[in-house]
Amino acid sequence: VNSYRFLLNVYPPGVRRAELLDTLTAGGRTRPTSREVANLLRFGMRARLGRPASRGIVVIAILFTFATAFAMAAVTERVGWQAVPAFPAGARLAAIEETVYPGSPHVAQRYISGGGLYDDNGTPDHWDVLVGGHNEDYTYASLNLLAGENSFLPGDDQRWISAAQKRIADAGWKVRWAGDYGGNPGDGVRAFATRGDVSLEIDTATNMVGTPAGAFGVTTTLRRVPPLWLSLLAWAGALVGAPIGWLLTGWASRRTEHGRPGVRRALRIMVSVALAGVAPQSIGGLQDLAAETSRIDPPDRPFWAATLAGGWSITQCAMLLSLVCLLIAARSPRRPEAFVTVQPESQP
Amino acid sequence: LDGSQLLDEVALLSAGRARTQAGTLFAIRDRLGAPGLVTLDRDEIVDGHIGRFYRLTPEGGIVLNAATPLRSGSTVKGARRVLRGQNA
Repeated sequence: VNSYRFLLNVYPPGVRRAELLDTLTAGGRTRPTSREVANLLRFGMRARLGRPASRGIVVIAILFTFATAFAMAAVTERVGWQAVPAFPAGARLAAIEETVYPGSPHVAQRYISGGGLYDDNGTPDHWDVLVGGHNEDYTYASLNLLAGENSFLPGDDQRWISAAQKRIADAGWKVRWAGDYGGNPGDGVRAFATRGDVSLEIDTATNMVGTPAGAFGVTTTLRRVPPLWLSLLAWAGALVGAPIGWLLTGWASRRTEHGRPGVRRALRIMVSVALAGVAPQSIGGLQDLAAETSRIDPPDRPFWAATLAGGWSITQCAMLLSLVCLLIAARSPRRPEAFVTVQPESQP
Repeated sequence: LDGSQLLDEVALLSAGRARTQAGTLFAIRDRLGAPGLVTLDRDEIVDGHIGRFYRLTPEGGIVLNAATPLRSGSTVKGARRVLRGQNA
C-alpha cells in the first residue's frame, strides 16, 4: 500500500489521492503493476495541470517544460565548465606548435581571444550582458597561434596544409574536415581536427592585406571541446529542470482556472507571447546540446549562445511575462477542490 | 457503483475488451465533472472502506443519451442497460 501511496504523490494534493488509493487497493492489492504505474504517472501528471477538458494546457506545459529543461541544462553546463582543464600549456603546447609549424619559422604570437572561457568579441561586464546580452559572435575562447613573420609563411598554401594534415594526423589528431573555405579567391584552405577535448583549426589565406609575393597567411586556432561528461551533466540538469516547468505550469493553471474571464484572457495572451519567444530557442538549444553530445561535429560555441546573444531581448520579455503570470497565479484566490462535498440533487 | 466496482463493470459491459485503469477512470471523472456532467452523490462504507459515489447530473444524462448512438453496438446496449437501471 505504501508503494501506491508513494506513487500517488504524482497527483496534486487533495482528496483524489485517497479516493484513488481506495479504488486501487479495493481488491486487496498492495503493489502496483507496471501498467498501473504507467497509467498513474500519465494521468497524475495530467491532473497536476488542472483544466481537465483542455488540450491547450498540455501544449503549454510541454513547451514550458522544454524552456526550464533548457535553462537548467545551460546553467549546469556553465557551472561545469569551471572544472574543464585549461588550454594546453608548456611542453604540451610547444609539442602542438612543433607539429603544426615544425622548425623554423617559430610561433610568433600566442593569444587567447576572450581571455577566459568565452570570446565575446570584446569584454563586456556582467551588467552589460544582463542588459544587452552577448555579441552575436559569442563563441568559446580560442588560443590562437600565429606563425612566421606577421603570420606569413613562404611557399604554396595547398602543399603546406597537406603536409600539416599529415603531421597532425601522425601526432594523434583526428582530421575531421579539410578543404577550401570562404568561396572568394585567395580565401585559402582549412583543416579541422580534434584530439581529446581540444579542437585544432588551421586556416590559410593568400588574399590578406600585405601578403608578400610567394607567401601565404596561416592561423592556427585551438578551442576546448565540451567533454562528454559535461554534456551529460547538462542533460542531468535538463532532467531536473523539466519537472520544474511542468509543476509551475500546473500550479499556475490550477490557481487561475476559475479566475475572472478577463484575467484568464490576459493570461492566455501573455503565455502565448512568452512561449512564442522562448519555445523555439529552448527546443533549438536542446537540439544543439544533442549535437554537442553526439561529438560528431564539435561546436565552436555553447548550445545556449543564440539565447544569450541575438535572442536575449526576446528571452527577457518572455521571462518578464512569465513572472507576471506567476504573480497573478499567486494572488488568485484558492478555490475549494471539486467533488469534495456532496451536491444536492438538482431539480429538473 | 464505486470506483473499483465501476472498473469491473466496464470490463463486463465490454465483454472484457476494455480494461480501464483507475488513473483513466479518475481522469474521465475530472473531465465530466468540470462542465458539471457528473457530481458527487454520497460517501458510503463498502467492504470496510469509504466508497465515493457519483451520479450523472441531468445535463450529463442528456449528453450520454446523445452520445450513445455514436458508439458500437455492444457498448450501446451496455450503456442503455445502465441508463435504464438509473432511471428506474
